[in-house]
Amino acid sequence: MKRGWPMALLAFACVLQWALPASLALRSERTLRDGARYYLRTAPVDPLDPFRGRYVTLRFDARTTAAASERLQDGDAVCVPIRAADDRYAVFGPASRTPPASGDYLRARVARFAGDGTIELRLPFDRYYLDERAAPAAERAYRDANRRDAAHEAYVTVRVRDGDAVLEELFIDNVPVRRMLRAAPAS
Amino acid sequence: MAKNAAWLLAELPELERAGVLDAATVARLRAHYADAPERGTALGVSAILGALLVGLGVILLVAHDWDEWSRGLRLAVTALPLAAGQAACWFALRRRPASRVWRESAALFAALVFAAVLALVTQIFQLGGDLDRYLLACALLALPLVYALEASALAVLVGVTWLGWVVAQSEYAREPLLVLLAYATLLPHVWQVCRRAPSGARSIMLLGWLVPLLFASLTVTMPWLRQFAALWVASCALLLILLDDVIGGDTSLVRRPLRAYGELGWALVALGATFPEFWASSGGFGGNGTMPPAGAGLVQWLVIACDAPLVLCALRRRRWLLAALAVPVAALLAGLLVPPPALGFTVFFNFYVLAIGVALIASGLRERALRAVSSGLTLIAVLVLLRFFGSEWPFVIRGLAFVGVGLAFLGAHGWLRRRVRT
Repeated sequence: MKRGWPMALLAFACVLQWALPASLALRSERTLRDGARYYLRTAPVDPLDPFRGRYVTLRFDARTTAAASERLQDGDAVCVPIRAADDRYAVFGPASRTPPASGDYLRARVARFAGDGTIELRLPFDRYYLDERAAPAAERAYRDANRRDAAHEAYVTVRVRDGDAVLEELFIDNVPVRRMLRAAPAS
Repeated sequence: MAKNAAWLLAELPELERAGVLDAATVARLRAHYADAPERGTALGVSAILGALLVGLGVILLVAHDWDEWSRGLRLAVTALPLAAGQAACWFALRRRPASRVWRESAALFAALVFAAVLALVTQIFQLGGDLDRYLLACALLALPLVYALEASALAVLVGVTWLGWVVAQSEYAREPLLVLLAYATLLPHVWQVCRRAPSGARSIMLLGWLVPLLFASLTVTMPWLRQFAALWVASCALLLILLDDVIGGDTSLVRRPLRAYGELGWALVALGATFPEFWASSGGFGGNGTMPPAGAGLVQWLVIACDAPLVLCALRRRRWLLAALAVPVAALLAGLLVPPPALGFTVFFNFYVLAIGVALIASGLRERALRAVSSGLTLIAVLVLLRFFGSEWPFVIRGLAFVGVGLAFLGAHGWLRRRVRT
C-alpha cells in the first residue's frame, strides 16, 4: 500500500466519524425545534421489570392496523401516521412501508401481531435518560403513576417532523419529571 | 516467542562454556533477545489497556448525564474523546508508523470512542434506536481504521461486532449472504497479514477469532439449524481442513487455527455418527429427511459447493486420507435424500473412524510427523472410550477398561514417539 493511502483512509474515517453523530444531533435538534408536538400516554409498567439505573424505561400502548395493501411481519420498519385525538393524546393511523401522502408520521417497527389483528408498534423511543442521581426517584414516580389502579397520570411529549420523532419530556401529573424531582428530591 | 527467548538466554552460558558459541555470538544473541520482545508485549498490552481505561473513564463521566448542562455543552464535551482518538490515529500514522503498538491501540481507542460518542448522542436526544443498526454503524465506521492503521485487534473487534449485529437483528431480517459480505470486508486485511507471515502471531489471532465468529454468525442466520446441524458442522469443518491444506505452513496445530477448528468439527460429527441414535432420531442431530434439502439454505449449499472441487482436487492428487474426510458430508447428504439405515451407518462409521485413526498413525510414521500420530491415537482412544460409555457393563469393569485403554494409549504413544524421532 502506498504511503498516502493510509492518511486518506484515516481522513475518510474521521469525516464519517464526525458526520454520523453530527447529522443525528442536527436532525434531532431540528425536530425538537420545528416538529409538531404530540402527547403519548404511557402504558402500565410491569412491576417486575428490572430497574435500569440511569434511565426510566417507557412503555406505550402503541397499536395500529396495517394498511390494506401491506403484508407486514415482525421487525419490519413502517411509517405510521400520527394525529391528536379530541382528548389531546396521539392516535396512530394504518402502518405502511411508505410515508403517507400528507400529515405527520413517525418511523417505527412492528413489534408483534396481536390476536385481534392489530399491530403492536416498537416506537423509536423507549427510554428517558436522566442524571444518574435522579433516575431512581424518577423511575419510582413513573411506576407509581403507571400502576393499573393509580390516580396519577404519566405521559410524554414527542416532537415529530418528516418521520423523525424525538422524545421531549416525561410528565407525571402534568409536571415535567425533572421539575417534579427538583421540587421533591429523592429521599 | 518471549518464552523461547528466555530459554535461549538461560542456555547461553552453558553453550558458551561448552564451546558451541563464542563470546561475540553470545553477546550478539543477548543484545538481540535481551528484553525487546517482552518489553514490546508489555508495552502493547499496557498501551491498549491505558487507551481503553481513559476512553471508558471519559465516557462514564459524560454518561452521568449532567442535567444542569445544556445539550450543546454536553455534545461538545462528548466530542472531545472523539477528537483525541482521531488525533492518536494521526500521530500513530505520521510519527510512529513503524510502531504496531501505537497503530493497534490508537485504532482501537478511536473505534471505541466513536461507538461511545454515537451512544451518548442518542442518550442526549433521548433516542432509543435499534441495537443492530447501531452495531452496524460502529462496525462500518471502524473498517477504514482497520485498513488505514493495519489494526488486527480492531479487525477482531469488528468481527465480534458483526456477530452482535446478526444476533441483535430480528429473526426475519437475518440474511446469511449479508453476513458473508460483512465478514468479507475483513478479508483483504486477513489476506495481507497471512501472506506476510502465515504462522505469525497476528495471522493466528485473526484466523483464530474470525473463523469461529463467522461460523457463529452464519449459524445464527439458519432457521432450520436443528435439522441440518450435523451437515452444517461437517461441511464447514471439511472446508476448513481443505483450505488449510491448500495454504499449508507450520506443522504445529496451535499455529494452524483452520486445521484445528476443522479437525475438531470433523471429529465431533464423525464420532457422533458412531451412535445409532445419531441416524435414528427424528429432528435430532443428524439429517432425518423431514426437511426438504432446499431448507438448509443457500449458504449451506455454497459451503458444500466449495468443498466439492477441493475434494476432487485431493482425489486427483492421490491424497486419499484428505479426501476420505469428506465421507461424513457425503453420508449426511445421502441421508437427506433417503432415510438412512441406522444400524448399517452406525457400524460403517465405527470402522470408518477406526480406519482414519490407523491411516493417520501410518501417515505420521511415514512422514515422521508426531502430530499426525498423536491425532490418530487420540481418535482411536476416544472411539474406544465412547464404546465403553455406550455399553451396559458394570462400573468396575468399565473403570478397569478405561485404565487399560489409558495405559495402552500412553505406552503406544511413547513407543511411537521414539520411532518417529529415530
